[in-house]
Amino acid sequence: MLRRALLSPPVLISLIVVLAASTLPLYVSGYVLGLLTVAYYFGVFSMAWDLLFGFANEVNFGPSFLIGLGAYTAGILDNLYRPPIALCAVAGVLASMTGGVVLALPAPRVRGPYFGLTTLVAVLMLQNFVVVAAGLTGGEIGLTVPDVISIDDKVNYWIALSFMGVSGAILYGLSRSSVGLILQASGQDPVQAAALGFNVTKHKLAAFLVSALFSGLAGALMVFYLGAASVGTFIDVTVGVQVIVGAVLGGRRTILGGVLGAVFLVAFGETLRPLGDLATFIVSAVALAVVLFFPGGLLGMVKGARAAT
Amino acid sequence: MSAAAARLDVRGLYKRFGGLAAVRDVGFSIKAGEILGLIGPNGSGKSTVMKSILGVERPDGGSVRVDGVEVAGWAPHRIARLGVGMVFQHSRPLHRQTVLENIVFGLLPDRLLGFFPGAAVDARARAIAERVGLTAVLDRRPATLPFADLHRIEIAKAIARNPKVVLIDEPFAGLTARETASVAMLIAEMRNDGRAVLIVDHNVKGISALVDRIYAMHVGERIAEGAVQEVMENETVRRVYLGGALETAARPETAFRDVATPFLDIKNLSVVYDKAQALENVSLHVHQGEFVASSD
Repeated sequence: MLRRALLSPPVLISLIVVLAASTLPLYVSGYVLGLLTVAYYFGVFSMAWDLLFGFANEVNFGPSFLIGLGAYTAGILDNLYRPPIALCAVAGVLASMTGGVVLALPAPRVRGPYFGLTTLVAVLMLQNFVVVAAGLTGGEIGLTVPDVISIDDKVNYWIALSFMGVSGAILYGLSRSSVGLILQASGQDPVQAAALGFNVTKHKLAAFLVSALFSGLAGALMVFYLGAASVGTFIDVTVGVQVIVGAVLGGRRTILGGVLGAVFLVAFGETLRPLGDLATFIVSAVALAVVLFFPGGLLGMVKGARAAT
Repeated sequence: MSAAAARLDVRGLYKRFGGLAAVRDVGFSIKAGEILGLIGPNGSGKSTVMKSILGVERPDGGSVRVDGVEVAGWAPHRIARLGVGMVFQHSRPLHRQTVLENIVFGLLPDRLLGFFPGAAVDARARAIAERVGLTAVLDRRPATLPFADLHRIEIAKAIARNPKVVLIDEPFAGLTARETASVAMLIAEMRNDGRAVLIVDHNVKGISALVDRIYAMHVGERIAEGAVQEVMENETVRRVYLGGALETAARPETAFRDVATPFLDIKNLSVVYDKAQALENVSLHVHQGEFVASSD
């Protein structure tokens, strides 16, 4: 089973795509690399979100709560004491995972849309806190961090690509493993899963923790790439929407689709940039159309085309 | 029967929903290798009894013992691990997984760090599939299977953990006559394996050939208990099911004016909802001015 999973077409294709993507710095501009670097971090955000929504069936409208906690904790720590970047990132991950537990707390009591609402409120509260505690967080102006991972576009690109590759491998592996099976069943029918002896709460909480781990780490790494954190890039509801649209656009319940969706959103938006504000509108309209007419997302369309031939 | 010998022992079970007492003082016990039919019309509380045993509902009073261990109020997964399995009426298999993977799921340990099931689990899953008659469709996805096979997947998952007590909710709902016979055989096998089986159904006749005893409920209470024949002849049971003795005042069919072309004429009607067989070869005709009632 392990061997079959490792040699399955999605894994092989992903491997080839990542290898091909790693050669990009040899022939594209630093500007494009910069765009893709951000897209890769968003890809991790979307994959982490898909584990919660697509597998645990928890409607989390607040991915940016987890991302923001990781990003700001790492950034603030660096700003205050300037410890090694790795230490800041670990702190960011821990903060995000704590946030994951907090986010999961109401889950057994409120279901579906109501749970989604609590996650949305969490985002707003974090956003408010950042604005109120401006002395610590930089408030609405944003937080500038003294350290960056590298000033070389190519190095930053390769770091983001490897991070996305490793995260994707782990998250995809998890989703296809035994625990992934249990998680999926717990999300689909908690009563039946419990009747088979599975502790549904335990598995869902674990999903929140894993999702928070990757969201927080990606957030922290992105801060040290950008050299700055602001509400608009990490916490705002629109950030969360982009993460969710990326995951759904790529194909929910596929994990890997998150990367596809995130890169698509960035690339498409960039292509249409000459159109100004209209670009955002067109990207949103296309995303909406895909979600409405191809619920399986981009990966679903690929699978459908393969099944048809 | 002493409580010690019983695999499942329910005593003085109470369950309220707000002001409504859904279950009042219900108690029965099932020995190893015995099938008890828990029957009652819709709303009689039989499903609540089942959910209370399973731990999905927390009983307000009384005791539920599995092999002598008090489990009332436990979380469902703990009760399941102690040896209570459940065959759900509406199967919801994992649709993106194969039949084999669905059975493997039933065999997985409840661990966060279990990543790959291993060859032993795979072999056990295949053995269980063989037992319930799913070997031919192991690599198919549930969506492509007939209703009876989905039911077999449920049975396979329920017996995967080798439960001492099996709860079965309306096992024959939606099955054709032939499928009913094969599922009945699987349930009889559970008995032969020494499991205590509780079948919950609103239909006495459907399960009467299979069960050893019947416990009949009405509006949350016991109305009769005992051998099948005994319960079916019980005055209260008959009244609950048929509204008293069945008295018909049938007029001969020739008495109606529209003998040749009845007002309503149904011949060999079969209805399938999704995959469940709701009606199979039902024929009925109603004349003008005639009163016909249907009951199951």
